[in-house]
Amino acid sequence: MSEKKLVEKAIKGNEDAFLELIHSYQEALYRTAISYLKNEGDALEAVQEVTYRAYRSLKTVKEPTYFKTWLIRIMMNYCQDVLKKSKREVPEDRILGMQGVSEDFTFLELEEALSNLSDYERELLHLKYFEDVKIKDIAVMWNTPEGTIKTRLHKALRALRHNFEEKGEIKRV
Amino acid sequence: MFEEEKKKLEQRKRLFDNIAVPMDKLHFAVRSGFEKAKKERTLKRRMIRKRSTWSIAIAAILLISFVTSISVSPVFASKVASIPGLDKIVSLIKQDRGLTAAVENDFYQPINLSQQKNGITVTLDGVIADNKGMVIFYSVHTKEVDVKSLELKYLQLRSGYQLHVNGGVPLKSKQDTNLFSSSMHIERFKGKKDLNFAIGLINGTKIEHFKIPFTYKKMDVESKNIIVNKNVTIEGQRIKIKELIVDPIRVVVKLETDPNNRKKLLLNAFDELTLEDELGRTWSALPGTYYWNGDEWEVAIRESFYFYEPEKLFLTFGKVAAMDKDEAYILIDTESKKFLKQPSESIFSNLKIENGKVSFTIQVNEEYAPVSFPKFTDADGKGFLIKYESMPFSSKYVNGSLTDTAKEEKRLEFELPTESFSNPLRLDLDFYPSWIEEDVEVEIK
Repeated sequence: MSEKKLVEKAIKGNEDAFLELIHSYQEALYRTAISYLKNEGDALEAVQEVTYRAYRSLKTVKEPTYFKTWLIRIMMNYCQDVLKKSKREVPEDRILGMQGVSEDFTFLELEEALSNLSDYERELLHLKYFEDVKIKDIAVMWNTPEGTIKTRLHKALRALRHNFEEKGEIKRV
Repeated sequence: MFEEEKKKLEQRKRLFDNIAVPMDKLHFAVRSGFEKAKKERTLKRRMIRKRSTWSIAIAAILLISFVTSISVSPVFASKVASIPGLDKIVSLIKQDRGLTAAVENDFYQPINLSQQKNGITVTLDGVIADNKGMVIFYSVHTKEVDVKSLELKYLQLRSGYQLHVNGGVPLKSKQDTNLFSSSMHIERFKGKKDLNFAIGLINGTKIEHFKIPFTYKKMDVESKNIIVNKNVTIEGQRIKIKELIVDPIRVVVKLETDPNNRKKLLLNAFDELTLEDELGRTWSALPGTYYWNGDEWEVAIRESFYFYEPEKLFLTFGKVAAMDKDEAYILIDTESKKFLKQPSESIFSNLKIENGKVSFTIQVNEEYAPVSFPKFTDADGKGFLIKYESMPFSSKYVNGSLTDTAKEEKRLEFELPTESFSNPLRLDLDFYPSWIEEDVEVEIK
């Protein structure tokens, strides 16, 4: 069955369709959660909560084609709330323990630079560079002209660079 | 413009793409989120939502590789004769009445695909799939080496389920030295029709990876669920039997405990649950296989009675693992180095606090071994996870270990947090050798 059909069935209240959809995106949800929250327990709780929220607000899905992005956005929203509430620092040793960190890759600084962006900018960067959502689709979803999205994306990247440079200076002192 | 930033973001994505995902935990996180939403919708109750902590114990996938001999029906024998490859795994199917009936009802789908590497051949013999789950039968065949010298490292079905074995489990073949057959049970499965069965075998010092792509047909069969909604009381503790989910390869009993119960149910609480029909046929719980979230339990039954269509069914609980809620924790004062509180007739002893580490001894026995201490909290309610080797990552953790120190003895050791904490430390007990029992029988149907 096509995804669109599944989404339509889910919106009409078909539980199996909903579960099938969520299960097929559970990994994507988890990766988004862990990219924000940085630990397994919190990420799993986030997936649980987002499943709950998604089921409750299924009726608000306007465009079935963008169901996955709709889910990811609920997740980002949730994670931003959690981070704001906890205002916590990410323990460094754990991140460094993650596999695949190459030596020249300034992972911690990048994470920090990202966390200092506005919610909107971070969301935009996440959709574009983590979920690989096309600018065209972001534009449709947010009902904003493509050109505007491009401009905002640039602004977000500039802010990211700025955060980086600031951090770099502090380090050099 | 911003090429460097883009590159960094792409590197970051790759990094997160490579993170290990705890598939079964993830699956159940979705499930419990869904159950919560569904429950709320059903009750249509307006109330302040309290986020339930995620406490789930689960064995979603299990391995069965023992052999018993049971005589077979003529129908079954004729299926074995007519379906290619089925003869190899007859003994695996015969030991499960539910699967035997599934084969008799044409639910077995032969696959018979193999991959060969360095003298080892892995064959995906076939599957039995219903609407929800799947049983996968596979064999390992060796030319030169003894199959028992190989160890299983992992089993995996792409798009989700993974069973990783720490270290490795020897392939115990009772049949002969060159052939090992086993099965993998997947309880719930919402997947595509095209799948990959993957298995890793430890052969001496290296791991051989096998991957067999296959397609299968999902059998479209209705569940024969039985709604019960009956309450029982066992030594004063109320338990509600909600429903039986009956599918061709699996039966699950859904239970709910009353939050006002004086006692807390413990890990493996319903291992002795048994169903009996009007002909005296019994089906019992698969020990250690349950889903547990707060007051809700789902207990898996060893074999399905889907095709047996019992007219009457009675449920008994046997011994239920439970202990008083106000006894179900330990308090440790790291200053005075004493247990401030522990259950009466405690199995904990020999508390030591030295070199920034807490350790104590736990008495266990074969009958009761599921010891687990996932976390502790300090006097202000601040929580710390204990990170054991098998857990890849978690925040705010301290390192810990649980080791066998003697035949019936384990020792738990964990670090004291480096950040400030306030005494005493509280460790909640999810297991304990304590049971309740009462002779109650519930008519299910």
